[in-house]
Amino acid sequence: MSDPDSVPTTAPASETSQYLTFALKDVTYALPVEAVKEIRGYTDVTPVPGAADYVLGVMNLRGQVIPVMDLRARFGIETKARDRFTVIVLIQLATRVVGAVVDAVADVLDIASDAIGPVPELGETIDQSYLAGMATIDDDVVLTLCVDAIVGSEGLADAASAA
Amino acid sequence: MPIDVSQFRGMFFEEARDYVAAFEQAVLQLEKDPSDKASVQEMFRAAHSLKGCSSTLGVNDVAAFTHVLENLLDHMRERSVAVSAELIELLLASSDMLGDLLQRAREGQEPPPGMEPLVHKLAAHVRVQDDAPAEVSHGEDQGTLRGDGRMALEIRCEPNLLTEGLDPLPLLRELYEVAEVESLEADVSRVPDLDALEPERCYLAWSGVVDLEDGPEAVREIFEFVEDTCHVTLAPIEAKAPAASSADETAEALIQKSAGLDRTAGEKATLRVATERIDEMINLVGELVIAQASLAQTAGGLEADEAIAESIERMGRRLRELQQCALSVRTIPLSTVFFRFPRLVRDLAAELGKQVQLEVVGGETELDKGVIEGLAGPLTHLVRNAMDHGLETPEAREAAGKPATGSIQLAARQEHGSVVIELSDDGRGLDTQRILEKARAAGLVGPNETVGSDRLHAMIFEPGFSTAASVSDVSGRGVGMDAARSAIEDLSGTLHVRSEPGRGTTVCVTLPLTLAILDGFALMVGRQTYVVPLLSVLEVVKPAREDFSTVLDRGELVSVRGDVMRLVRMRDVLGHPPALDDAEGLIVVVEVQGERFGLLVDDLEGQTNVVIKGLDESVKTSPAILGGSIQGDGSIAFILDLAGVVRVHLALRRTPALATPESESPSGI
Repeated sequence: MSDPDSVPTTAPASETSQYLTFALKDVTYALPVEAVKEIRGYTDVTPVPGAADYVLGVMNLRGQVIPVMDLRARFGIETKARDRFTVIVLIQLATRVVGAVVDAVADVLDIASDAIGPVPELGETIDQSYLAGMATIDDDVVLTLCVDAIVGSEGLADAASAA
Repeated sequence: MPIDVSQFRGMFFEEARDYVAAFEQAVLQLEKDPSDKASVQEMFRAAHSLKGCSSTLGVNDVAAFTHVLENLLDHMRERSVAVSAELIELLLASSDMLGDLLQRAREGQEPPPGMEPLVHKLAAHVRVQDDAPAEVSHGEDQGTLRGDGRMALEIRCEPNLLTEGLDPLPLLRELYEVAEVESLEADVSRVPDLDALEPERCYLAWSGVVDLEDGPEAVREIFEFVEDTCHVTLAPIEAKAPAASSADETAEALIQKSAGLDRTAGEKATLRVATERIDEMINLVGELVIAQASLAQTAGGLEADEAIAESIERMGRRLRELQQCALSVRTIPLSTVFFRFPRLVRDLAAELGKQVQLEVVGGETELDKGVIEGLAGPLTHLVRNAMDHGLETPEAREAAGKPATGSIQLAARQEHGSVVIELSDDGRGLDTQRILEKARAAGLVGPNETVGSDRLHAMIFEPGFSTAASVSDVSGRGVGMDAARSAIEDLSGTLHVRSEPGRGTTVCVTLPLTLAILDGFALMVGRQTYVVPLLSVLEVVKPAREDFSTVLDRGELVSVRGDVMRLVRMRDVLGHPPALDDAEGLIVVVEVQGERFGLLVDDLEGQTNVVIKGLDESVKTSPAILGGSIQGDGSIAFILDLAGVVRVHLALRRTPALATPESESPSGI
């Protein structure tokens, strides 16, 4: 990805993947649809004593106790009150499911792999390690996310110690 | 399609461990009773099975070693070999070697250097016995001979057998009934080509090897009435076996036979299933129980008609039976961990120069497999400790008017919803005076504080606490006992000590029947439900305002019927805003690591069974939280780790005390 000019020659131009896009503050983010298990309206969660501040709590998902994190808090964006658009995106990992609270889901987009470029230095905004790439769709900037970095325990340990 | 044997490897190692255990047990049995031929038979069976499956799976070192071992064992059962101490040592060394080889094979390592010498020793032992004036002559015996009534059998049929109205098949069936048929093969060489074949002629013959305990007569009788059309020859295979020893041989054959029969009778059909699958099933059943509870609650709220309520109730009863049944799948007898102790005690006694008689009771008591696996370590520590510190030397015992041989008893029994394991010795008992001195020196007890003997006894489990005058290899470093306690507590169990000077010490371990489902006690802190293990809860009281007090060096205390203990404010520990009035709450008295604590909670919900769900790794929780569980109404309760609760409590107490050292003193007494 460090050399975007070489991408069209190596990857077939027609290779597209589907992404679920959602909003946090005024930025659109995208998750690969394979990583999305389901989307549910926001329901209250049970707070966990001693958990990191971006972990809102745990919820009962058909008999499983799964964690729910506030993605705004995770990305260091100021939190906002929940409204009727607030949803929990359930992210499916290899062996577990993690819920992420976002402002609103937007769309499912087909994004060609060659349309995704590297993430430019964004300066003050969010931790770059959560971002996989950037695409421009109809003049809108979409940031694709790196699922493992968001829910991986490594990043969490850092965040917890920093908190 | 090639068969993937790798999937059997895990199973093999499981099974192999059982064989090695059975082998070792038989060796110890033989040591106790050198005339016990059944134990030799048992050893042989274990080695033989191990050899069979290890060579099938290509675990060659094990196969090669068991082969040599099997030779020796075969020798032992073929003749009356004197059971020497040396032989027992050799067999025990072989048992250890097998364990080691299996471990290494599992990890893909080379066999240990000790294997070669041991193989030579085993082989040499066979030769020594060969050279010794044996009671039985052995001619060309290469250790391959089995039972002693073995005979070569040949059956040849006249072609007119079928037209005479006879059928060879029932005859052969009868043969299987009276004799142990090692092999029997049909000889089809005389069957002509199809066009020459006459369907009414019999072209078949059979040959094989049979084992006849009752002599050849039984076989002859079968074929007696077909003498003319069926020719049966029986020839002894070991032609040179002297007639003089036949009585002995028959006796041995009978022993073998009866041992074999016992085995088949005692053996039930079993199935090895991956533990994950069982756990998944137990988990689902647990969910089902909860779903039923939730259904019952909903139906109750709807004031549904009685018939519905009744069938929901009936369903609940069945579900609980199903749950019991599912849980029992995970349980295995304690003998699977107890079996190692005879050997341990034997070896340790020799090492320490003590005489010890071990009695094991209740090995059939069943417990969750996970609990049993976690028990081996702590129990070994406790047994070592009893051997080393509990029991005196033979001289000291005699001087104290006790028998020179000390005794250790390991007894298990089921009690209500838990299993109790008691380890008692008749040794010198705990020296409470010494413990008190040590505890004072370590600052565990204030210089003028008086301490009850219960608490003093519990102190032997404090980290770094050892009253042993000398540190031995076996114990005395003070690391074992606290490790043993925390291992037991990790299994949600508790530990108690009773001791009487000069009479002995008893360590009592209480364990839950299963780890998958927690027998819990639900309580409310703030608006959240938390569950603590029922085993840890001693009592619940409603405190009066005057029961609370604060002491400078011990913090806040609460008095429960005159028993003063530390107060743990659960709202603080779990991060809930403090309550307005302490006396509005309840005190749950729990025992953590031998000390009583009074937990201040808001309310009680009572006894409950919960399925423990681990929390996701991304939820870095307080050490006070062990996991979550889903309640009947779908809400989530947290399961508390009481040792963690105490840690958080102590950490909280330290921090504000440092920040405002003055503020606490005015409230002191």
